[in-house]
Amino acid sequence: MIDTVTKNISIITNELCSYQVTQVNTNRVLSVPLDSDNTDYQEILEWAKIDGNVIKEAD
Amino acid sequence: MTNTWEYKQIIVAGDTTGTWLITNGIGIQIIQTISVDATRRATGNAWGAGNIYASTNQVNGIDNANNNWIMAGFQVEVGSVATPFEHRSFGEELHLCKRYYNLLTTGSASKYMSMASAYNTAQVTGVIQLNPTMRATPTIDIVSGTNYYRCTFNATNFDFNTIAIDGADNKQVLWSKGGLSSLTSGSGGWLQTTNTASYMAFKCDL
Repeated sequence: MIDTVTKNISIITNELCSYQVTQVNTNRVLSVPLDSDNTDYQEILEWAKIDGNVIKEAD
Repeated sequence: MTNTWEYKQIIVAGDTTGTWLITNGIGIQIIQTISVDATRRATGNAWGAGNIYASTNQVNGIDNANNNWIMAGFQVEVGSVATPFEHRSFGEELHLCKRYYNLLTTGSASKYMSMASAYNTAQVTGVIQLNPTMRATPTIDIVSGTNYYRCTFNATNFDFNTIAIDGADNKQVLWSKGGLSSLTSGSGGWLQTTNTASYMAFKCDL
């Protein structure tokens, strides 16, 4: 289950290139590409629609 | 029951009443009954409500300690005709699985995952070729921990907790890590794990 989502900026293009996802009760981290066929990306889009869920800007 | 191999084909017409769970919960269970109490039996070849595991024709397969139940193959498929068993080698099955989840390394403090280069004094990158081609652009799946990952350049170690996708498609991944310091831009090295808990995988499940 998604805990936080943070934007990741490409060190090469300096543009948004992926999302860094932390999950509840685990140290597992997902780096998710911006691909509509990727189910983790689809899950982020659904998660972001829920009130109170905010995608954080890159660190 | 016999002492020879038998091939059984059972066609089950779907239940036309009620609903089937089609989420990642349990929607169907197939239970092969060797013995069951009479209260768990009902007329065969018909759908019914209740915890029924066998037909009224059920024999007691555990009435003798010398009884054996041996199965060589089992296949469930949609349709009205049973197709031949598919006998895939371990290698074939593993290769097919890697289209959806490819575990690059796990369970060791020194597993080498990728060549790496210092993009500048604070950022490192590397490319990993995906074999086989994955279903779509994969997610990098890792576990975060203090200094779980390491790049080594010019005999100097640079440790960090996670890495990220910088660019990718279903055939290759460009990974990166920023926020480091004192790298010599252009240096070549490698990426490895440093903890038995650390791993890296590519996932692209349906």
